[in-house]
Amino acid sequence: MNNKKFKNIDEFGEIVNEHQASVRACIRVLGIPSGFVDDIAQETFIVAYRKFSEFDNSRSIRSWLLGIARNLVLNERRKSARRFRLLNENLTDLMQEEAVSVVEEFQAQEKLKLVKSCIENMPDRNKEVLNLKFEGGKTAASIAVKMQRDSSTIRHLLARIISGLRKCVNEREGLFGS
Amino acid sequence: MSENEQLEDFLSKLISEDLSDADVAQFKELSRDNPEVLKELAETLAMTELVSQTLQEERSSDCFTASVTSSIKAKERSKTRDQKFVDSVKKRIQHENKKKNSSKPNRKTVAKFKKSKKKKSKGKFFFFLAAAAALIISGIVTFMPKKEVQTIPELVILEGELKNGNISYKEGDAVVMGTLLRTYQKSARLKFKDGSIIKVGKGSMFSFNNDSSRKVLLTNGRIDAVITPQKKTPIYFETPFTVAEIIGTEFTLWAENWRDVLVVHEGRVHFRSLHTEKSYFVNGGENTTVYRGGQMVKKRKADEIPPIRRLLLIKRDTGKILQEITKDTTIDFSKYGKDINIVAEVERNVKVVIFVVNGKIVSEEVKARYIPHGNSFANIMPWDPRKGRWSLRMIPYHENGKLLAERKMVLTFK
Repeated sequence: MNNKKFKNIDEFGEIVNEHQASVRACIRVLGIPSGFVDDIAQETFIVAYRKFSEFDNSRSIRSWLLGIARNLVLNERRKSARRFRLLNENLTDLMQEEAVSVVEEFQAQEKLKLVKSCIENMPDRNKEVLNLKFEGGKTAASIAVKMQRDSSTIRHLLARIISGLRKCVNEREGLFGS
Repeated sequence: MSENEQLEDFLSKLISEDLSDADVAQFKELSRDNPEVLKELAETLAMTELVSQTLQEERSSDCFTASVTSSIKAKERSKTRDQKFVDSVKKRIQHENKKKNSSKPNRKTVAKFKKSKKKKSKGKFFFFLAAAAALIISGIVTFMPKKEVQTIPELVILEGELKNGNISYKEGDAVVMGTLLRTYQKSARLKFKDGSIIKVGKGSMFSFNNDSSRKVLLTNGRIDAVITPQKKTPIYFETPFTVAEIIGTEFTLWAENWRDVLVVHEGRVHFRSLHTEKSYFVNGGENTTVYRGGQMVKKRKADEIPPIRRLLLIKRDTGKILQEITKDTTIDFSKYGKDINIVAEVERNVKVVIFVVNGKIVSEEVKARYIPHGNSFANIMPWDPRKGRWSLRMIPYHENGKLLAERKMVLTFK
C-alpha cells in the first residue's frame, strides 16, 4: 500500500508527463484507433489518481499504469456498446498479452525525444506524406488522390516510413546510450 | 507472398486503420508460425503513436498532461458540487420533516388544554376566537400569490430520452435541475420556459444548475442551442474547461476530452478558458477551439473550405453562366433579361441544399443542380423576382446528414 498523498494535482502532473507516452503507445498497440487513444489514456490517469493509495510502492509505476490502461481497453472489448472505440476486436484479443511487455521495454518517453529529429532528416516527400496523414488527419485514399498515386502505394509507403523511423530512432538511441 | 511482404501488407493496413477481420485472421496465422511478428507489430504501432504525438500539436506531451490535470481538477470540482447538492437536499428533507412534526398537536399541550378547559370555562370562548384567527391568517398566507424566483428556466423534453442512472426522462417530461443527465444512442431536444431550444447530441453528459447562476454544465458531448434574448442575466454554458456566456444567439458547443469547440452561427458569445482565464468574443460565422492546455485557436469559417463554393447567375433556357454572384452583386434585368435563375456550386460531400428567400423556404434540392427556383430534369424553371433587395440563405447538408456551414447574401435586382 502507498500512503503518498499529492500536495496538489500538478504534482501528479509530473507522473503523467513522465509516463504518458508509454501509456498512449500501449493503448494504441492494444488496437485503439488514434482518435480514441487520448480518451482512454486520460481515463487511465484519472483512475490512477483516484486509486493511487492502492499502488504498491515495490512495483514499477509504469507497469501499474500500463496494467490500468490494458484493463480499460479490455473493458471496451467486453462492453458491446463501446466496441466502436476498438479498431478490431480480434486484434485487441491478439495483442492483449504482448502489448504491456513490449511497451515496457520500448522506452517510449525516451524515443519520443528522438522521433522529431528523425522526421526532420527525412526526404521531403516522406515528410509530406507523414504530415498529411498525422497532422492533416487525411486517409490513405485522400493522400493518394492528392499525390496522384494508388492508395495501396501510399499505405505501403506509410508502413515503410514508420519502419524507417523505428530504425533511425533505435540507431540514435544506441548512439546516445553508448 | 513472402512472410515479410505479408507483414508489411498487414502493417500498412493497420497504420491506415483500414483492417478487415480477414486481415487479422491471416495475421493470426502468421503469428502462430512466427511469434516474433507480434513484437514487430507492437513496436510499429507504438512508433505510429509517437509520430502522431510529435506531429499533432494538440497531442503533444504538454497538452496531454495539462488536459489530464485539468480534467482531474474539474472532476474534483464537480465532486464538491455534487456533495453540496446532496447536502442541500438532505437539509431540505430535514427542514420539511421538522415542519411536519411542528404542525402536529403536541400531547402535552393537548393535556394542558384539557385541564384548563375544565378549570376555566370562560377560556373556551377566547380559545375558539384565537383558533379562528389563526386559521384565517394561515389561509391568507397559503393563498397569497408568491413572488416567482427566476433561476434557470424549467426544461421540458421535446424529443428523445435522457437518463440519470436507471431513471429515464422521456418526451414531455420536465427535467429535474441539478441532476446529471445522459443521452445514449440518440440525441435529445429540450425547450426552456422562455422558448430557447437546445439539442443535446448522442453520448453527451450534462446538467442544469439549480441555483441562481443559470448554468448548463456540459461534461462531455455536444449541444446545439438557439437561445432567445435574455433580458437580465445571461445563460452560461460551462464545460470542465471553458465557459460560454450567452445573451441570445445560435451556437454549437462540443466538449471533448482534449478540447472544446464553439461554433457561433448567429450573434456573439463571450468564451472563456477556465484553465488560463483568457477569453474571446466569438461572433457569428466564427469558431473557436480551446485545447486542454489552454491554447485557444480562433478561426473564421471562411478560412475553411466552404461547402457552397460559389453562386452563379445563369440563363434559364441554355444554362449559360452569366456572372458569379458575390455579396455586392446587383443583377440588372436590362442586361440579362428576366429569363434567368441562380445555381449554387457545392463541394462533393454536399447532398442537400435548402434555399431560404426572405425567410421562407423556397426549395429543398437533394441533387445537383442546386437551384433555388427549381428544375425538372434538365429544364430549369425561370425565376422572375421583383425589383429590390432579396435575402438568400443557403443551408447545405453533408451526405451523412450533418449540417454544414451555411451561406447568406443579399441580392439586389434592378
